Amino acid sequence: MNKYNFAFFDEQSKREIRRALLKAVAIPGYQVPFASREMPIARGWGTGGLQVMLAIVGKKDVIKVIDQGSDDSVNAVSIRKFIKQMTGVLETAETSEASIVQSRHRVPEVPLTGEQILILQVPIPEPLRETEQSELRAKRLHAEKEYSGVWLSLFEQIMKYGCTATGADHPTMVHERYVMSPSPIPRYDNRKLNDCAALILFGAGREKKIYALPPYTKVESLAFVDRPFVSESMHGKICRLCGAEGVFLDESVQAAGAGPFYECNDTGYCRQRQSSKSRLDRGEKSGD
Amino acid sequence: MKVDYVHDVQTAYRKLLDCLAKPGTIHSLRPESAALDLPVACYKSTMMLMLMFLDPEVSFHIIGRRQGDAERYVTQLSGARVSPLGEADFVFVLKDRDQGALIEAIQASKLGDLVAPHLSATVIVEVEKNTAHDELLLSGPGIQWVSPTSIITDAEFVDSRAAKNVEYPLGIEMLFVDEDHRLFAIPRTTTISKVR
Repeated sequence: MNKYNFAFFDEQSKREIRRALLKAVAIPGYQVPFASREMPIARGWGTGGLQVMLAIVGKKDVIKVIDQGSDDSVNAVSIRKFIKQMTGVLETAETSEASIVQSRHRVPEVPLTGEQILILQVPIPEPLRETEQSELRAKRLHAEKEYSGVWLSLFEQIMKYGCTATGADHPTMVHERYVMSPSPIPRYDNRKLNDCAALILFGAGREKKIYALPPYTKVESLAFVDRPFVSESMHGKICRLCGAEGVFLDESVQAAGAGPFYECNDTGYCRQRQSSKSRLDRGEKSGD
Repeated sequence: MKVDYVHDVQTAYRKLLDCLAKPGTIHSLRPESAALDLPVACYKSTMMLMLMFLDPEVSFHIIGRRQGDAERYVTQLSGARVSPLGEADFVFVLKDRDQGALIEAIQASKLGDLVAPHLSATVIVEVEKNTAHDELLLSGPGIQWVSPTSIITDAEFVDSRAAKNVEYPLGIEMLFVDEDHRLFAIPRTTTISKVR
């Protein structure tokens, strides 16, 4: 007999998160405060995403959990095992087979569909935090759509480095109303949020915030007219394992003298391509 | 068959989440709520939504002919507080309401404020029928092009809702359930235009 409730939480905890999620979906990009629960993993290790997952997951779901694109990293494995143990749901590494994808810092390469939900783990949900330390004042700035601090911060980066230096977590404007942190996904992934067919839910357990992007919502990366938004360039780089081009790649350094090599950051996507490739090499039809 | 208060509420919630994320989508709550048998004079799917939303953390208000009995029972069942219309987190507008009660509910329900727009009411309305006919066209987040829909209820609700939601991000969410368990949701971001 299972000693725990289905999906770990008691029903009142689920209700609290579910209610917050509904308001989050209704106000795209707005951070809804919620009563974040203590979880059996440390805060900052994906408790927000995990709480969102446990509040919505059902017996018929198939889940995929990734950490920085990898199905096999410690964070992903621990969270996936925990969810499986608490629910008994099926797991997969293939994005297209999953009904719910929980991810830390990546949007999968395989385009998401309208039947899927993507949950992103968020360490710092407040895009104004760097320029405004007070939570109350940050809320007022959002209320007044007063985002000059964020713009100034991007402007200063351009003055200092010649380009915006956000790396990951480049701020976005959602539905022409709220500036939103897309979570620390690479700039390469920002474009996938715009007009995405899937529902995207963001959970920040430590900061006790939930926010969301309904499907087909306008999401623009903040940029100036004369300094357009630029994502990481993967031009001319190829995955050494599957030969993929134009996807987000990890760079690794070889022994002295040899140049760097690249591999797909999204390991599920890379494995899928490798297995299709080996099937084709064996002369089998693709998709068999 | 008995209702499973964990799994049936979960599947009903996922349908609601899908309806709200993709306005124009209609889901049937029949599999979850048909077996509900509680002594409240409302649709079974409305009762399912009450089970989904209400607990001691939130307040609610019921509009209907047997409002007092219904509110007493739902409070005992859920522990949620009964509040005046203008302060309730969830407003349930039942089928046996008086003429004009829906419009009054839309006008009087709470809006939150610009710092906390999530503190607005969610209004659940029992209607005659939810269908995908093209009497109303929906547009906004969650809708790829436009979504045709038809909600057979008090005709003026579209204008009252538009007036209530005029200052985005302030606004209310509206959920519609019909006798046949069909669920339909409109968040504040959705623009409704009438087909002439």
